[in-house]
Amino acid sequence: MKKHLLLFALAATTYAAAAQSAAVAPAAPAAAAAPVGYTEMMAATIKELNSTGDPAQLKQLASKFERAGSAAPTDWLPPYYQSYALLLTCFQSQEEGDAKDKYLDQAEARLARARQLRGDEAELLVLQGYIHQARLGISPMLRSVKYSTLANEALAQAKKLNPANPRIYLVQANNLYYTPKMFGGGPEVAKPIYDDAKARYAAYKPAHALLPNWGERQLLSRLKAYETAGAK
Amino acid sequence: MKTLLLLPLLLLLRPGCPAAAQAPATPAPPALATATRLTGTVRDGVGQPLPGVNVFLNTTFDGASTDSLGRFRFETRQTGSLVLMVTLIGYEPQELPVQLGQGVIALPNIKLKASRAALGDVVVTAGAFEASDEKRSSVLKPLDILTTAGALADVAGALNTLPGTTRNGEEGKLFVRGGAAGETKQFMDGLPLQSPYGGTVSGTPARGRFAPTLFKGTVFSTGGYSAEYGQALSAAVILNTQDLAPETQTGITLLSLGSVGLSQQQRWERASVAVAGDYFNMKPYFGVVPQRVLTAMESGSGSVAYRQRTGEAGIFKAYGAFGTARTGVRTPAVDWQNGRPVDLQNHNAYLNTSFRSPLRGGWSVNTGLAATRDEQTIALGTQGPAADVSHVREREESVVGRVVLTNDSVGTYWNLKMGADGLGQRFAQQVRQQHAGQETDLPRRAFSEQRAAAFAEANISFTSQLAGRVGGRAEYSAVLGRWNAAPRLALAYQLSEASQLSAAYGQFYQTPANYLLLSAHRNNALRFERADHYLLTFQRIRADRTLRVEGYYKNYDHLTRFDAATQFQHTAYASTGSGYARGLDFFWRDRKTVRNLDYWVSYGLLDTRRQQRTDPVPAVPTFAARHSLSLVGKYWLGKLHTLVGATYAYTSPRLSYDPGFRAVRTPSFQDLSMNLSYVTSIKRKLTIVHVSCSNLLGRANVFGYRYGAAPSDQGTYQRVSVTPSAPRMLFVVLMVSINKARPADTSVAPE
Repeated sequence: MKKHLLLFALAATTYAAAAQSAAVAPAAPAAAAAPVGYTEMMAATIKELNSTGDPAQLKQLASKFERAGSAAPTDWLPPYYQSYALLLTCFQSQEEGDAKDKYLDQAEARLARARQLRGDEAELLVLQGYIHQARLGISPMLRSVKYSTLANEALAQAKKLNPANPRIYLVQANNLYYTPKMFGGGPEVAKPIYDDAKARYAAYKPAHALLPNWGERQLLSRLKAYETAGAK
Repeated sequence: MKTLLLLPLLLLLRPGCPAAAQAPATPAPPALATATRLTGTVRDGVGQPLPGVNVFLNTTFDGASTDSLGRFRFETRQTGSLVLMVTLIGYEPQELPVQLGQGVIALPNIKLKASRAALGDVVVTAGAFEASDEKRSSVLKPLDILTTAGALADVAGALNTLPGTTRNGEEGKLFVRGGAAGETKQFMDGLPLQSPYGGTVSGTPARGRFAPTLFKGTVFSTGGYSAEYGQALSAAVILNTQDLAPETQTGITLLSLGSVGLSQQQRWERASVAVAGDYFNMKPYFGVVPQRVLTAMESGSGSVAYRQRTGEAGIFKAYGAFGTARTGVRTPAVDWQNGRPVDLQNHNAYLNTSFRSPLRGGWSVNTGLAATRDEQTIALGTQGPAADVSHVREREESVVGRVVLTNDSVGTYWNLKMGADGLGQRFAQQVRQQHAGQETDLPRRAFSEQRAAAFAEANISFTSQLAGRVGGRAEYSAVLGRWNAAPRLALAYQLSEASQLSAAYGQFYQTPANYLLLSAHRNNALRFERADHYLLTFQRIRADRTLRVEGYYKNYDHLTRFDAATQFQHTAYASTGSGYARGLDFFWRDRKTVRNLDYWVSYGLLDTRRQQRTDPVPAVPTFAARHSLSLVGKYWLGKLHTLVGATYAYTSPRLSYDPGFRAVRTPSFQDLSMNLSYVTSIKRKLTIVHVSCSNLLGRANVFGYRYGAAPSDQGTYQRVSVTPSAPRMLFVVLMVSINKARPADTSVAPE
């Protein structure tokens, strides 16, 4: 009897998995075991994430990705986006440095989870580099030496794995943009890297709709700011 | 077994199959029956609403975050039994089984318990001051050591502005809570430094051998420290060296006291090498600023630091340094009109290697080996026919090694650290005596020591507010032929997010000092010197303001005593001394109230007595002062690219004893030092011009007295004052960094 039950259970799960993955495969092959509606919900939440700068809403979105993670526990994208949402919360928050560091601690913990689930390593490294940059921003005087090195190391490693990823160049250019001129940074130095990033965004097509595709809007508005500054 | 199997099976099938079976024939999405609305409120243990709580149905996307009143509300089309997850960082997650598909579910009373603190959330702070740029809670930043006025870029100099220390200007070393300098041990990457200070003659302050820029973090523990550290009765200075040098850079340092320093660091992806060398000769300075005590000071030193990253997170470090120094003084002495000439030569070589790496299963290893060779030759002036020492030659060779294993994930709420260390040491002294123009060598004295120790320690978090550290250390000393076991305990209780109360207790053992063991090592009755510490600390850190108050009691036992008349015989020694120290340390640092101003106030109240060495009765030691106060300020003038620093230090009168053991009080010690660091660039090379001046108020400080051997007719002894070599010290430093990748930035404070 036991044996039969086991067999039956196995068969049922295999069947369910096969049926579901057949239904959603073209959109999100990574989320094979995810329930119905998962892809749509993820897509909608990602869209929301890309269109808000309100820290309260960003925190809610981080919670949403946590829920998505519970719906599809083997997919690396929910913890990845949760980490990204927490990073954005840190950037947008008006709180003290300690509170901001806590968001980044959480963001790093979620990033580690995404790594356990074998997410796209280059993408994870870009986010790691971005988190280092946020750490630097909390206390530039004390942290610039350490975290600018760490950020650059993470980005260099990402470039080795996938030089086509446009976000590497965006984060790298941001790093330079905010580095004081005396340290070899500044808008002029960053400009060609932004241009490079633009070309990479034009050439980059994510394999499916849920994969990371953020940054282009930020890039375009930055480039526009260059234009208006140049026109003056 | 069957039911166990059935359960997950049912759960598996629930969302898919039964729904499909019940659904109408049309291929609608499964579970599209009726929507269930879930509403409720989440509160914490004391009934306060919790905003931002994530409330959701496990394995689904359905859920919501609570609002500012802790309320949530969402709808789901799922049916059947599911688990409602209620999660918030810092709280124990709650799982509530719910039956869906039967209308509204109201959960007005969800309570979340604060989770037990993750390890490291509550940190035991009793006794320790930490300088680190990585931890938010640290009281000092590594560069404070360089920018504190009066510290003269010396580790001990900077730590002497913290409470618990008593300034002894004639020594320049660390004297902590009524303890002698030898009771404070320094550790570099976990390995004890056998010779932390450069060679010096009593009366001229010593400097640490190691540049403060070598270290990325410093912990100064004034009591109750971890079982990882032994052989220190009073305090531990834990110095952690830099990992990889951040970038390729050349440095040039010129010091107006007569010093040239050059450094070069080279960085590769996974390795770095840093080479440094300097030459120091104060002769030209003496021509400008006349000295009372110093007649010569010349030194040369060099070092190489190699760092290699191994594997994912391992690092191998090797550091080698040598130094040679000559110091000439005319030390105050009653029988000598201009002081007794003393000439000291010191040769020191040091090698430190360490390796740390993660292992499997949450374990990591930290191991190291260090060797020291220190040779000191002192020539002393002699006069008259009376027998007197004319030459002393000392040599110490030692090797220390250790292995420490740490596991941060033994349990969710505790970690484990254990290790072993060992020491092999040889110390020899040769004294030559002059008697009526005749020089004779006294018998050479020497001893050798082998010491082994093992320790284990666990950090445990009991509740979200209470954490503890429990450990023990056992040690065997071959020279004493004895072993000891020392328990160490510490507790930290978090009163609020910003404040905490800590308590610590520990037993600390130390073998008697080298100069005592030279004769005493044959004495079988000799024991470890022992101190017991009891501390209670209140600490509050909020928004760049730190307040710390610590009360302590320290009990000394088995201190070495000897009879001066027969000090070359081992029978003169006995471990019968004892004493106590108690007091209160206060520290306040504020980086916030005034923009660009960073200041701290340290005050220490000390009451101590001990009977040791040749003391006939328990007495206040010469190195202890009842009140010690330091006011340190740093102000950054952004427009002028200048950091201005000032330090005021006050130490209440210390005691000095004449040969009849009658106490004489020194005047109080007071000093106002200032420094200026001007950041600029010379041909795009970052350049710092640093000006420093001590004793701006020109106070005539007296550190102590030296007495004549025989009393006068009135029974008083003739005496001379031990004073600083010059009333004040004024110097200029020029530091240039040549960095091809990164030109100079003069817009930030040189912090």
